[in-house]
Amino acid sequence: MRYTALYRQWRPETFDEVVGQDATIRILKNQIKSNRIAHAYLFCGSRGTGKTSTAKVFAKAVNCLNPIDGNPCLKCEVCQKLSTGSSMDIIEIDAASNNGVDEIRELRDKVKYPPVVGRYKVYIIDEVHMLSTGAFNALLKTLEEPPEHIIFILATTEPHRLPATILSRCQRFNFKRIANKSIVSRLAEIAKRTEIQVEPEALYTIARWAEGSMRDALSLLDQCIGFGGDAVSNEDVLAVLGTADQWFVFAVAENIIEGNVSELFYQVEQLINDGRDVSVFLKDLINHMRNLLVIKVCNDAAQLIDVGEDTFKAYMEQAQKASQERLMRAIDILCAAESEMRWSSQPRVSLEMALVKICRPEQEVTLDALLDRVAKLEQQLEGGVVVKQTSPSRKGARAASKSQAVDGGSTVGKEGGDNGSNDDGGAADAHVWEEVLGIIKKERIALYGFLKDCGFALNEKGMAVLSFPADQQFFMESMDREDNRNFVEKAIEKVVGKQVKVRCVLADQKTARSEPEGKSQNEEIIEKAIDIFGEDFVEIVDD
Amino acid sequence: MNFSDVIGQSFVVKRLKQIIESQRIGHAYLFVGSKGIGKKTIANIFARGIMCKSQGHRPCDLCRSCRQFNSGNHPDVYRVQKGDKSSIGVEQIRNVLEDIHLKPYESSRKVYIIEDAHAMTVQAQNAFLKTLEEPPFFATIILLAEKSSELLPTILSRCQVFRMQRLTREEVCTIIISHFDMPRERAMLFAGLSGGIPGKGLQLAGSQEFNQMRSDVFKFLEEIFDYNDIDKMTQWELFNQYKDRIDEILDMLVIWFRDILSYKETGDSALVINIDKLPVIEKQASLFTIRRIRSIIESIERTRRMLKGNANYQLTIENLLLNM
Ligand SMILES: Nc1ncnc2c1ncn2[C@@H]1O[C@H](COP(=O)(O)OP(=O)(O)O)[C@@H](O)[C@H]1O
Ligand SMILES: [Mg+2]
Ligand SMILES: [Zn+2]
Ligand SMILES: [Zn+2]
Repeated sequence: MRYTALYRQWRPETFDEVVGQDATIRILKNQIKSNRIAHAYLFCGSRGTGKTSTAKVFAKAVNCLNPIDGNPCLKCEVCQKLSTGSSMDIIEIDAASNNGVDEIRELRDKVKYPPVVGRYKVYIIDEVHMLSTGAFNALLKTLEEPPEHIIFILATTEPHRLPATILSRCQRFNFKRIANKSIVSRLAEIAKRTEIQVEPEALYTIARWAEGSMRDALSLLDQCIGFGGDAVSNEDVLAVLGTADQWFVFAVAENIIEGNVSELFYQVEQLINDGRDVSVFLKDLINHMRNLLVIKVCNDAAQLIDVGEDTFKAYMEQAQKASQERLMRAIDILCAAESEMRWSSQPRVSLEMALVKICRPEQEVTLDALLDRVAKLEQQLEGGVVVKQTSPSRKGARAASKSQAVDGGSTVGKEGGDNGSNDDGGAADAHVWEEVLGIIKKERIALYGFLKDCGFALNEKGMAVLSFPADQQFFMESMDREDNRNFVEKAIEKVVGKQVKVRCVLADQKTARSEPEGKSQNEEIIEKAIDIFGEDFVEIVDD
Repeated sequence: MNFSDVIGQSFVVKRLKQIIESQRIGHAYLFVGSKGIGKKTIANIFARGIMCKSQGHRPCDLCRSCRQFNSGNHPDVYRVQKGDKSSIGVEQIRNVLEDIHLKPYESSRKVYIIEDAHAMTVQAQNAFLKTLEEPPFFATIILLAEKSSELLPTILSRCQVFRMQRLTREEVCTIIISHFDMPRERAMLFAGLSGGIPGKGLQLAGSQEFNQMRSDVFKFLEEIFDYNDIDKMTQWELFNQYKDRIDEILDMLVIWFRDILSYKETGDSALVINIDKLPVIEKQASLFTIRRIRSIIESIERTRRMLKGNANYQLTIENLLLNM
């Protein structure tokens, strides 16, 4: 027999085979039974949840001569004819393949002809979000006054892309992501009927991975069949997914919880050497940490975590050792790394960085880290930044490059004095900048708009650095056109009396403001210091 | 090249061979992995295998089908490539949709290989959905993509997904040595830099320009501690000179600082990738703080993101330099 993918082979043929959409199915069946059928339906929901399948079942059910509890009987003459696929009465339109203009036009001409075999002619317009505006308009005309014998079923994963005029004319059904338990039972049934042995644990792993999509689940099961041996084991599934075995994930989590950075470096090395996919592993790890967190915060965690008993016990044990803060922090950082990985061509480094970051929180007060930070603070103090609270004042204002240094990042070379790093220098810069802004404001108000939030520093060599807040990249680029730069250079020259070159940079931190009336720099420095040392180690000296 | 010549990827190869042997040939496959990891090589073997007429090991490389395939003119193989363009547009996919309904000429199957599938526009991907789900029984569609995140979930849902594995350093080293006459130690270095991607390893090993670039960049990195902001700005020239290869430069920077961090954390030179620079790495590990390294790596990644988003090149690079 010719092989067909499981998800095609097991497309539901009756409403009863559609799982996980109980409310929707009940209503549709009732409509059939009571013969109260609408003219236009919209089925929406994420992929593989049964939209297209249900549309096809419904199209048969409305025409079936003796429906059984609302289901098409699949035996009567009409059902049989409709099953051939080439039927004239069920017309499936692929709205995405060429935006549907021709089809919808043709549809408008043809709707007036009555059905050939059954009572209704059913148009299934699939992936309807891709219709062009022209096609939507054409469709709307027909939807406004559809002939008695016509039913439209629109299906899409992206209902928000449909015009309101279309939405308002359809009866809408939302197909939900299918619960893991429903997926598992459907998979088990299919496995039984095709005589494939599958470990229960394996079914759960598949369901978890499928994220509510039955198609994804069946597709994965398909790939696992015949892979390991006669029966599909959980290991087979993990191997096909390319995810590390779960005890490895446990071991990594253990080191994260204990802050064992160097062990983590070795584990990443192992991951790479085993040829594992870093982004897949990261996904597993996030899911793992999430489970630990769920156990920490929920009483009935067992309900929320779909795993076997042994695994659940191991989760319970591990969760005991972890603090809620660390788990939340870990999840945050790992998720950020996941999205970063989309850009990076070095997924390994992204992962390593995330792990280091989790294990070395700023609040951490090991002796080493503390010494490290004291050294940094000393440098900063030399640079003229003092951690003490004064009322917000102009004195607190500081040139951009300086506040970056406060970030605690740099050591050698950075505070080397090139940006004018004594107190007077900073204040002077702020003063200069204020005057420059004054000039710009008078003559080029739009340019002033770009510049008013940016930091300013000038060094002896005549280099003026304008640092823009991190979220103002657009302003920076607008500013950096030849004419704008010239204008600003001239303005600065007017104020300081010598020629300067302007450079624009994007500041690392949002603190890079030097506006005199801006938020007190000192407050920010204190926040930073607390960040670095932990609250207990920062004493605020008011003078 | 046949399955037995593939180094590494043992898992993927094993599964593909099983598919061919059991004749459970699906209608939609997706091979995912970085550029140079071997997607096309393996897809070609697989495609040949499912069309091969031999009764023994497939692909046999002897039958008419295999020979036609190898000479690049098999009538039942259809390739979509992005060519010089930046994307695969909806027109190219519509051509596939038209062609796919025609019966095969000679084989029992038709194979569609969509190279650079990640470059399909959103419209092109949508246009593909229905056909990718239920093509005619004789058709098999193989998508090759560098990143699955560039594909719609609705596309992924319809495919059997094969994630290409990165090779071990040893394996890449073996491949490099089989192509180039060089000492093992040197090949190992390129293997380390390849990140497990053989195509990249070969490219690095074979490129004079790359080696020049590497030593230029390393000179800058070795001296970075002696630079003040102005000095750093003048390094812009270096980045300007290699503008076309900025991605590789950013990789070098990232790996450099990653090495320092890894050495600082573990004190183990076995984990260092730029092993030929160990003395400098040791030295810098004692100078840089962990926070600092982290913030530099973050800046580098941000730079990469901004350049991908078409930010002004000079501004972005200078910003990076100042943050280093
Ligand atoms: N609710 C469901 N119950 C049973 N099988 C389903 C369900 N949803 C999807 N499937 C399976 O997934 C395949 C694709 O479903 P389909 O209805 O085309 O999904 P979509 O919502 O993306 O249109 C079907 O052929 C069927 O095998
Ligand atoms: Mg569908
Ligand atoms: Zn019937
Ligand atoms: Zn052959």
